Amino acid sequence: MKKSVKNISNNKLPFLNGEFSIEDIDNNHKELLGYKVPDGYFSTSKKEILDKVTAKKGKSIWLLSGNLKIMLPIAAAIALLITLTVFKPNALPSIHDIPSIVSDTIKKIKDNNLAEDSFINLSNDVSIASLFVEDDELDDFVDGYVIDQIILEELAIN
Amino acid sequence: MTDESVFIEELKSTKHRDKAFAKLLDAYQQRLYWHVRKLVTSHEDANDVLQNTFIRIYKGLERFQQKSSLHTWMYRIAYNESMRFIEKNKSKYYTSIEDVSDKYLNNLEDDVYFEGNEIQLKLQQLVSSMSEKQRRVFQMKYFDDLKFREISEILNIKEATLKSIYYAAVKHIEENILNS
Repeated sequence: MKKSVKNISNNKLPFLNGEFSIEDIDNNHKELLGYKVPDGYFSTSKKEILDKVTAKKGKSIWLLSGNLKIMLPIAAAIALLITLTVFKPNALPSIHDIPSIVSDTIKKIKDNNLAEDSFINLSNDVSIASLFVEDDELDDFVDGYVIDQIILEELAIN
Repeated sequence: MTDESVFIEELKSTKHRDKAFAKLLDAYQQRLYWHVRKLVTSHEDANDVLQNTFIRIYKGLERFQQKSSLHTWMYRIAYNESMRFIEKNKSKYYTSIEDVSDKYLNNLEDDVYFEGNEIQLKLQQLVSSMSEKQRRVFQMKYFDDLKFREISEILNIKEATLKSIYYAAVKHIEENILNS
């Protein structure tokens, strides 16, 4: 059995030329071994693969930020605690002194009303609340309090 | 810097990776598909393994250290994914060493995406009747167009050994064709 040998260069990746072109390898398997593939399979498969690797990349970004149901309330609590302790270390303001967006966040956490569709609103509130805190103060607080207290406790529970 | 090195840098960079990966798919999707298909037999299984293979390739790009060529590295991932799949679905592929050939042919004939004529089926029978090592080496050399050096890196077998395995496989086919 003779295989046809062509030296067709792959213009997109010329350094990956083999002795056989993709067409030759395709023909080998279909003509010599009787294999076939569904029509349009390779273009469909390419799209599926690209979608999957993109989805996994997106998922890993979310995973890096931690479980949303845990991290968002924690982030809200951090913003509140920093506002109360670091930002105004010697004062415990009454609920009336706290900007309404922060107090709304506290209320949401207290009510434990964390339905899936409220996450987006909650994350907006947290983002706004975080504007009240300096970045380096937040970093120090996260390192000192969050890692030691909150995350280790969470790990202990799980 | 070689063209391949430049391309690998693009694959590793977060900015250019997706575009470069799409080019890589264009160049290798069919090659790796056929490599996998011969190992796992059916189109459906080959499709599953191929997707897992490219996901692994994508995830491994950042850590790829260029100890081998990109070409060999990808084939090795495809081969290992196929072996992992076969091991996981053992009962479909073999229950004992003796019935590997029968199972291989049964799987082939059951696959809706196999439409071999008498000659093609005969060749498949001859390939399936080889020892597993002979079959793997023969498939990679004859159908996948891989060099002995590349097969050596994929299978972790010395080149000299591979050559003797390959020529034994060819002899096996010649003798069977002559006898029939």
